[in-house]
Order: sequence, then structure tokens, then C-alpha cells
Amino acid sequence: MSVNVLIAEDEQNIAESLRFILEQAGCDVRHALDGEEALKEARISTPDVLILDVMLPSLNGFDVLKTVRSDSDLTDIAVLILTAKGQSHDRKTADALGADAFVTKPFSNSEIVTEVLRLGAKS
Amino acid sequence: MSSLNVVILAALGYAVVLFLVAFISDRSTRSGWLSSPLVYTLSISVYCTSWTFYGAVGSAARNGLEFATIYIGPTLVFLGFYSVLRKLLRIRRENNITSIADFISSRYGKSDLIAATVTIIAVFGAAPYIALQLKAITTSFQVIGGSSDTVGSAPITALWVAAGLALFTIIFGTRSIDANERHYGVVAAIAVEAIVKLVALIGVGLVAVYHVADGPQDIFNRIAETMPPPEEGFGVRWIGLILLSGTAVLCLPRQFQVTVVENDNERHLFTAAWLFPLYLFLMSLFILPIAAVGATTLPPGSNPDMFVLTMPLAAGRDDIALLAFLGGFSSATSMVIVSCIALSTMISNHIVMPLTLRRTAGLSVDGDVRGLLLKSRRIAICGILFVGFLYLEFGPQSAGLASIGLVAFLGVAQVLPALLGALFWPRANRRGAMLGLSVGFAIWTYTLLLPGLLADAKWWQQVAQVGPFGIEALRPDALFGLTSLDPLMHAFFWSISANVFFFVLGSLSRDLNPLEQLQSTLFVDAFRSGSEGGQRLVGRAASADTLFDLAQRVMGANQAYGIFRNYAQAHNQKAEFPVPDDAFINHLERRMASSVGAASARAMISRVAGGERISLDELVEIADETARLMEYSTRIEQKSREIEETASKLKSANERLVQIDAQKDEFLSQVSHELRTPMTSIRSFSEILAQNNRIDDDKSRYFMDIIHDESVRLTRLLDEILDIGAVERGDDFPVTLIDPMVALKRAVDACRGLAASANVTIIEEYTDQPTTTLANQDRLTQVFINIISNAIKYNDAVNPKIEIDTSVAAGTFHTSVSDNGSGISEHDATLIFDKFSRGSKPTNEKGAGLGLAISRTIARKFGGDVVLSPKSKTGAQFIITLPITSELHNQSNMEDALYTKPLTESI
Amino acid sequence: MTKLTPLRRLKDIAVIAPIFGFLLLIPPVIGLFATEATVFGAPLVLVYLFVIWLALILIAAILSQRLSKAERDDPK
Repeated sequence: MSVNVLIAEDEQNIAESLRFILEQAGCDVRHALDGEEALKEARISTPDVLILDVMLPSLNGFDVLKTVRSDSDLTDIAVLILTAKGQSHDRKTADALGADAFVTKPFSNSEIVTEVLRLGAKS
Repeated sequence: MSSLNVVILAALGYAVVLFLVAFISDRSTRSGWLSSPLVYTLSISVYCTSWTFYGAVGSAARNGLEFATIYIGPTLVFLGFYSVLRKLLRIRRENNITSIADFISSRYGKSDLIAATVTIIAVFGAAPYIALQLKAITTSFQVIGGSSDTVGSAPITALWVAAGLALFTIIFGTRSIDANERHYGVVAAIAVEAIVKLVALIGVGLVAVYHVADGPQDIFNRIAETMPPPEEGFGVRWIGLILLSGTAVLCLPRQFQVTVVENDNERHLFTAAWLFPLYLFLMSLFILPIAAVGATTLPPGSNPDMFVLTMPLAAGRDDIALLAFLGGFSSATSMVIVSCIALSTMISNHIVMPLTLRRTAGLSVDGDVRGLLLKSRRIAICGILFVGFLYLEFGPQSAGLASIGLVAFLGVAQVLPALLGALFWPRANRRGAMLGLSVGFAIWTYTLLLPGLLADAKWWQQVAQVGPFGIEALRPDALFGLTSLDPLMHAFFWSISANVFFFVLGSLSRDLNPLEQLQSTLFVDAFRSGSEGGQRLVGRAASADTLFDLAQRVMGANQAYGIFRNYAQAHNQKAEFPVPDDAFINHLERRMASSVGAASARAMISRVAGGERISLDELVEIADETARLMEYSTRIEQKSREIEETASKLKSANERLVQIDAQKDEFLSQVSHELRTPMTSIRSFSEILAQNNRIDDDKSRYFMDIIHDESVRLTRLLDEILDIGAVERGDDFPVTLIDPMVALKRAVDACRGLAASANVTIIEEYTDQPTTTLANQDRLTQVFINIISNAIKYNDAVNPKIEIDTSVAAGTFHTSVSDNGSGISEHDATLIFDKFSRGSKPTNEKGAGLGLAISRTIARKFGGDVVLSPKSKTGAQFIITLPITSELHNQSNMEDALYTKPLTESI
Repeated sequence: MTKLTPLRRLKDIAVIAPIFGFLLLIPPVIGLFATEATVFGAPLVLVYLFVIWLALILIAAILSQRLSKAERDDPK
């Protein structure tokens, strides 16, 4: 069974590269451009893995994560935090809010694929 | 009353007791109770003479509360003991001062002239005062002995009393000549007398309150009945009397003797500070009741000065009357004894000794100085008492006890300016002291002493009425037409004013000579310079033998040997006699000063050792030491204040640095974020291309385009980051006087291509007013381009239009760039000028978000600004303002603005 | 800043106290009490004078005791 992945990323090009590599790895990929859209999409498609950029318009990644963890319909989604800041306090915040994985931009494609498959297998 | 014999017997018996007390105390020198603070305090109460004992009641009967002023002054002086009295004690100890005359003279360059002047003033002031005591004793004898009508016996009584007092004083007051040896016998006798007079006065008071009157309530009624109306009596005279009595308790020779010279422990003063005022308070407590009862029960015309005796007599309490008599006797005798000791010391040291030295000028000191001193003191005691007796017999008869005492008070008060100057005014010198003393003394004599003495003389009455030689302005009771004051206050005002005036004037008229300078430092800085402080500065030379010869003549062989021997031992010298170096000679001079006074001691030493050489440099150093210490501490204070200031500046600078550092971190983190974003795409797509060879050409071309676009974006980003750094530092754009319209038109032209491709219409409306501003042409163009291109790029209207207007108002050139797009949300409006902010609308535009931040920074560098107009309803309106400058003159201000802008604002 | 030692403060009080006492006992202050009024039958000004006097003695006692102690405590 293929892993359902939702990408929340406002950078069009990054989203596109993610979609390409994950589809190649056999995932089912959806894409949202901002935080609110991501939540809406998550309720519809209930993905296995949510790749969440921190710097999102309208609702940032951490806000989305908080909502996901507090919503009983969404709480089972595995969340991978993607950030370009890569500071340690971002990692701490992510851990505290219940993120399952943390990847810093620029990432290596294989790293992302491995993480997503691992998280997808768990759920 | 019982017979006169009983009274005489009681008096003699009492005198014998006093002799015994004195005798025993003199034997047991330095035994416990004699050197207790209580005995010290009681000896100070020699202040309360028969004037207090008899005269205060008389004064109260005549003038109500006025008597209290005489005791309030001393109360205040002792309350302030720490500043004046303690310093007097310290200086006396350090300098072996023998009397108030010695004190003043020692301070003013060891001048024998000053010492003699003060002595003369003291003697003149004391004569009527001693006469007053004799008068009180004889009058009380007459009253209690019931022989007031036998006038003839009065002089005989007075003479007997005077002789007895002389004998006592000579026996116990002139045993030694050293000021460091206390008169224990005398002090003990006076302490006993102090208790007797207090007990006696309280005894009489109790009789008045409970025996004659019906308790306190009745007493108050009688007081209210007899006292002058309370509204009266609190005027100039009230103030003057408090000041005068405060002065007297410091300057009266006998007070100086018991308080300062006889003190052998500074700490006793701490007890006397409150115990002596308490003694005065208790002495005063029954004065008014006795006066009131006397005035209401005794026949009219009774002498109020004798109420203390006549009241208990009239009440039939002979025992209390006898006690009162002994109290009065005690008051009078203790005053006379101490006064005689103090005055005789002054006369022998400051008049007899200098005259002897002058007579033997040029030669060494001959003969037995010690013998001469003792003899002259004994003669002086007899002389003083005899003068007092003469004054009593031939002086004015009419005055009350209190008024005679006040004349004496004002006499010795002439010493006060020189005394206070000695303690607190470093510039005070001999000339000032001499002038002040003599002028004050002369005026006192003319305005107060002579009018009292010569009241009955016809020629004086003539002078008093029309002035000397008919000069009205010089009338003794209305000097220069001053008639509003009573005679005492009149004399007080003129003598003290002139005294102070001439003291200050004289002191300022010349500099201090070295010896004066040295003494001034030793006195004014008594608590700092220490005993040997200035002594090392005085240089003299003489052989030890010569010095010993001199010393043993002055102090006797035993004492002189002791001094030499002790000094040698104390300084670890093996020889019998110490090496006569400067330090020893100065030590010896001070020891001799305790016998003959500072002036004479110096004169004698100079005879054998030559005049002193005082090292001026070192002297100045000593004098300056205090000043230096104070300056030093001020400097330290200042330093520590500076350090505190620096610390707080550093703290705020540090806070700013921390803030800047945080901003820098934030900036770097943002830069990193902005750089990572394009790099993420580049890395990811290049990995895809590298790892998948099965991707079709279209796709791989598409991916490579993305990689290219992102690389361009990365480059632009780096350029912008470098640019904002340059703009913020302000380097590489010199400002000149330019026309902003030129820059604007260039910018519009540059944007026309962009507008055309985006189908945006540009509407221009420019003012034709020529303007200039101080700016950099290229940078200003950059600002305009940035704003206009933003307006084009972000315009999402169907028929996109932008409008560019310029106007001039209030010295400012306004450029407005507005569009008809959907505008900027309130939330974004607060953010768009921040770095790396791009607004929340997703766009295809890939700027780094630094453009507006850079534009605003540049505009602000030129003294203008870029703002988003809050007023615009549709679309966004940016306004660029620039100050209009027509001349280059305020360029420097501009530059200041450029370089002084805090860093915080610019990063 | 100069540290205000107890001795320093007491010294200042010792200078001010007599001046303060003087001002209380001279006109115009004492004049305020020089009226026909009486306290327990005694003229008001009489009571005022003696009460202030006693108070000054009390102050002298306290002051000298404190000064004596402060002098012992002060290293100088």
C-alpha cells in the first residue's frame, strides 16, 4: 500500500522537487501552498505523512502542527518538519509540539525519502 | 534668729570641714571618686555663685522669668559640647594650656601681649564679680545675724571673709605651679559646696511651697499674681542674655579653669554635657516659687536679693535659714576661690613673668623662677581679694546682684570672638585678636563699667548727659544715637560688634607669620594634627645642661629631673639626659608652658636655645595636610562617581551591543533562511538529474531552468544583502545638491519597459516648482525604481494603473506613487519595511524582500523617508519625502546625521 | 559617595541641637506661649520654658551617650 503524503510548502519549486522524488518512491502526494490550506487538505485526505515547512504564509508550520496534534481526527498523522532556519531552538520547538521528524533545508533527496517511508511504515 | 555667734560658729565650722575635705583630697591624689565625672560636673557648677543663690530670686522678683536666661545659655553650650568644649579640652591637653589667656595667646603666635590683654580684661571683669560675692556674704551675715542695722560691722565682716578665702586659696591653690597637676583639694571642696548649695536652695524652695504656701496650686496663683505680665520680657534683652550667659560659661576665667584646665579626662565631658544642665535646671526650679512667696508674704520694701534668707526666717524655719546661709556662703566662696586661682595664674604667668623676662633682657634666666611664680601668685590672690573688697566698699552701692554679674559677663565676653576664631578660623591672626580684644574692652569699659563705677560722680553725670566734650554721638549710654536698647544690651551690641569687626578686619589685613601658622594648624585641626604633629618643624639648639638648668629653675629640680629622665627612657636613650634635639626642646617647652604659659616658656627657651627656625615649606605642608586630605577624599569621591558613571555607560553600551548582537543573529538567521530556500531547490533538482537517467528531455530541461532561476535568485539575494550593508554604512555615495525630479524621471523611464510588459498605465503629474535636495543621484533613482517597480509588479487590478505625483509643502519634496490594486493589508503594512518581508500574498516574484528596507534606509540617509500612506482606500500609496535644501551649508549637519545614527536603527 | 557613619551623623546633630534649642527658647517662638493662658494654674510660658529645658537636657544625655558609643565603635 502506498504512503499518503501531504506537502505544505509555499516555495513552488521545492514542492515540485519533493513531489517528484516522493512519487518516484511510490508515494501518493498532495500539495498545499499555505498553512490553512494544508489543514483543510489534511482533513479531506487524512495523509499518513505531513511534510510541513515552518515559514508558511497565513498559518505557520508550528501552528499547523499544534492544530494537528490537538485534533483527534488528525492526531495520528506523522509530521516531518522542514525548515530553512535549522537553529536548535526550532528543533526543540518541533519536538515539544510533537513532530516525528525534523529535516533542514537544503536536504538530500534520499534523506527525505527514507524519513517519509519510515514514518509511513509506522502508521 | 538665734545669736550672731551661732551663725559665726556654723560658718567657721563649715569652713573647717571644707579645709579638711581639701586637705584629705590633696593627700590622696588621683584617688577614685575625685576623678569621677560627677565631681567634675559639680566643680563646673561653680558657675552658680551667690548671684544665683541670692540674686536669681531677686531677679525673678523684679523681672519674672528673665533669671532663667542665665542658665539656658550654658545649657545650650553644654548641649553642643561636642563641637566647642571637646575641642577646647583636646587643645588644652595637647598644648598644656594654663588659662584662657594662655589659650588665646598660644593660638596667636604665643604672644605675651595678647596674654596680658586677656588677663587685664579678666581682672577688670572679675573685680566687681568678686565684690558681689563678698557683698552677698556680708549681707547674709547681717540678715541672718539680725544685725542689719549695725552698719559698722559690714566692712569688718567682709575683710574677715576675704582674708579667710585668701588663706584657703593660697594653701590649696598654689601648692604647685604645673597646670598638669590638678588642684584636687580645691576641686573636692567645691564639689561639696556644690551639693550644699543645691540642697539648701531646694530646702528653701520646699519651705516656700509646702510650709508657707499651700502647695503647688497656691504657688502658681502667687506667681501669676506677682509675675510681670507674660507678654513682656521676651525681646532683645531675652535673646541677648541667653547669648551672654552662653559666652560666659566658656570665657569666664574660673569656668575655663574648672571645665578645661582642671579636666583630666575628656570622657567626663560626656557626663557633664547633661548633668551640668540638669544641675542648673534643679537650681532654677524653686527660684520663682521663692520669689513669689517672698513677694506675697514679706513686708513691702524687703530686699528681694535676700528672700532666700528672709523668707524661711519669717516662716520661723531658722534651721532652713541657716542651711540657706551656708548654701549662699558655699556659692560665694567657691566662686572666689576658683576665680582667684585662675586670675593669679594668669597674672603671674602673663604679667609678672614677661615683665621679669624683659627686665633681664639679653641675659640668661636668673634665679628661682618657680619661687617667683609662687610668690607672685600668692600676692595676686591677696591683691584680687583686696581689690574686690575695695570695690565693695567704694564702688556703686545701688546695683542689684544680678546687674553686677552681667557687667562682668559682658567684660569676659570680649574674649569670645578671639576664642572662637582660635578654634575654627585658620586665618585668624594676632593683629585681629589684639584689635578686637582692645576695641571691645574699651567700649565695654566706656559704656558699661565706668557708668556703673562713676554713677555718683558729678563730672561723669555731665558726660553721660551731653557726651564727652559736648559730643552727643559719644554719649556712653547712647553711642551714635542708639537709644532703643537698655544700657547692658547697648554695651553688648556696640562692644561685640566692634570687637568682631576689628577682629576680622585685622586678621584679613595681613598673612600669618610662621609661628602663628603653626599654632593655627595645631588648634584648628586639633583632632587631626596630633600632639607632636607640628612640633618637629621648630628647630633650635642648646646643650642638655643649659636646658636642665633652666627647667629646674622653673619647675624645681625634682620635676625637671623627672622630665629629662622620662624622656630619655621613653626614647630609648641610655644616657641620663636625653639628646637635646629639636623634638626634646619642643617637648620641654610644652612642659614649661604648663607652668608659665606658652608665651613665657617660648621666651625662656629662646634665651638659651636661640629663636626658633620654622621650616616654612614643612609648615605649609602641615597646614595643607588637612586641605589635602579633604581634597583627596573629594577626589576619591569624584573618581568613584566617575567610575559609577562609566560603569553605567558601559552597562548601557553593553545592553545595546547585546541588542545589536541579537539583531545581527536575527539578520544572519534570516539571511541563512533566504539563502537556503533557493539552494534547496538547486540541490534537490540537481540530485534528481544526477540520479535519474530515465527522465525525459522536456522534464530535465524544465528542471534545469528551475536550477538556473534559483541560481539567479541566489545571486540577486547576495547582491541585495551586500547593498543594504553598504547603504547602512553610508559608504560610497557622496551627497550633492541635486534636482530630485531628474532622479524621478530617470526611474520612471527605467520602469516603462516593465510597465508595458505588465500592461500597466503610468499617469504622471509633476509640480513645476524647481527644487533641490542634498542626495546622491544614483541612490535616489534606485529608491524611485524600487517603489515604482513594486507598484507595477504587485498590481493585481484588471486595468492596472499607477499614478506618480510630486508636490512641495513645508520645505519638503513629496513624491506619491499609488496603484489601483487590492492594496496592502493592515497586518502587512506594519511589516513590509522589515527586511526579508514580502507580504503574505503568494506571488511569482522572487525578491529577497530587501527592496523596501533598502529604499527607506537610503531615503532616511538623505533626511527624508519612505512611508506607506494609511489614507489610501483602494490600492497602495507610497510617499517618498525629501527635505528641500537650496544651499550646501548644512551639508555638515547632514553628515553628522549620517554618521551619528545609532547602529541599532540601521542593521 | 561619602558613607554617613553614625558618628558623622551624631556630630551634625550635636551642632544643630543647640541651635534648634536656642530658636525654640527665643522670640518669636517663645512669644507664642507668652499669653494669659495657664496649665494647671501655672502660666503657660513657665511650663513651656521648663518643659523645653528638660527636653534639651534629655537630648544632651542621649546625644552624649550615643556619641560616646559611636566614638568607641568608630575606628578613628
